[in-house]
Amino acid sequence: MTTTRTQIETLDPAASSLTLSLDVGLYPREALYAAAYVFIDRAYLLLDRQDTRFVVHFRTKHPVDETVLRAMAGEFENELLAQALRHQVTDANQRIIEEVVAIAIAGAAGDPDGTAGAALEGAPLVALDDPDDGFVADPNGIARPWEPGKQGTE
Amino acid sequence: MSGTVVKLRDQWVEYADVLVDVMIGYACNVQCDYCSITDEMRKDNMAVAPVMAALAEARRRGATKVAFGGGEPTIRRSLLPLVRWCRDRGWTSIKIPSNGLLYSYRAYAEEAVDAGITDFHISFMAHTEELYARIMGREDALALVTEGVRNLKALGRKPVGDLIIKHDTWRHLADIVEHWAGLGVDTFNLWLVSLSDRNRDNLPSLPTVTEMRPGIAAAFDRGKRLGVTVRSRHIPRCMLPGYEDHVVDLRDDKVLVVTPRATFALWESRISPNAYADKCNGCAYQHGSCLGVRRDYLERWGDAELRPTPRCEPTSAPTAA
Repeated sequence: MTTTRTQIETLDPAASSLTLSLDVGLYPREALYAAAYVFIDRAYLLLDRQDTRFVVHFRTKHPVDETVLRAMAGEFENELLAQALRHQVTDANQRIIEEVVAIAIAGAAGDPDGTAGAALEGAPLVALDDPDDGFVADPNGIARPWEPGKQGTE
Repeated sequence: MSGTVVKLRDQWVEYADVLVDVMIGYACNVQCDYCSITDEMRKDNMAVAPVMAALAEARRRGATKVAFGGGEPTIRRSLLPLVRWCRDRGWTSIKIPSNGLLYSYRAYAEEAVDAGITDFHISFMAHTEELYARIMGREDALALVTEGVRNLKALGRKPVGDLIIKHDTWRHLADIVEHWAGLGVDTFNLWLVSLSDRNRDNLPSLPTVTEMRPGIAAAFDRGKRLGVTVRSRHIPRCMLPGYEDHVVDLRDDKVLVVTPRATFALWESRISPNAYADKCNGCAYQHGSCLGVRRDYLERWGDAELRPTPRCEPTSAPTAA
């Protein structure tokens, strides 16, 4: 096999099985695992390798016809692409993700002797994926953000 | 060009000299009557990750001075974790401009000091409960800010006061300085109210500097008598004759502003864009230590109050070597 394309090697509707092969240089192994994981509710999967190609064997859990098998091959290719991109983004942001998680863990831990936050409800937590990451809790409502139309009504 | 410099408008500046001013969000816990932040802008908040990414890059290039502004930064839960994060990564100057309300919680003030805030700036609106409440919209505003200042002082921190010059404060600037100086504040910055965005149509809020000059001069004089520093940040020196030494140019701060939508030098911001009037051409201070006058001021009042200083021309023709 010299092609770098992902291709269907075998397709057997009678056995509800499908075999794909793909170039090992095209996708990171992590992307392959992640894409395969997405299909484990629908099929039994076996990952293999032959020379420069990964080989993926599918056997669906329920009988399906050729159309469904071909669709599954297409979905798998799309999933591979999505997972490869996700892997790339994660790689690029790894350091920042670690820093943010460190902050979240430090915030969740609070102060060790339990005195500094006595007058405030809760420890300072950071919502990782929320641009409006929340506001400090305060017993007298001083920190409550002002909202248009609500002034003087509370 | 090396990676340790950044271009602020027309000049290259070492990152080590730059104050990276991050607007972490425009949300606020009060609605001051002169605030230029619109309801739409209040929804703009920066997520923690991009803030950290911007700071990590600036730090890598040598920056050590950071400010977290808003809106009101103290109401963000992420603020103190971010301050700690900066402190632990070599940021030696961490400035927080605030309305000061949250510091009325002793626990919060302690946590803020412990996290590593080095420069506490508080906007002091007034010196009386009535005026404070009218500007900020909270009856208890003066009491809370006073408590906040006391808490910070007890923790060994001396906040810097930011005062807004506008139609209902200029007559009281000297008394405002004296009031807060009495609580231990010894540095005050005077800022001219801005006719931009939400405050754009509030024309009465910005009288002429000529009209307000007696109040501004009184604040300088009172500060001198009390032994505290009072300086002006927005008004060109030619509009404050006799008090030129109190004028601090925005360019001196070398502020790089990072907002949810853009990054720019402070003097290019929408709130305080400065411009030269035609009559500034030829002034000795143009393109030097004076950045001109605020554009919104020029649009409102024109250039009649500007008094350019002629350049000193050589008295004789240069001689050939």
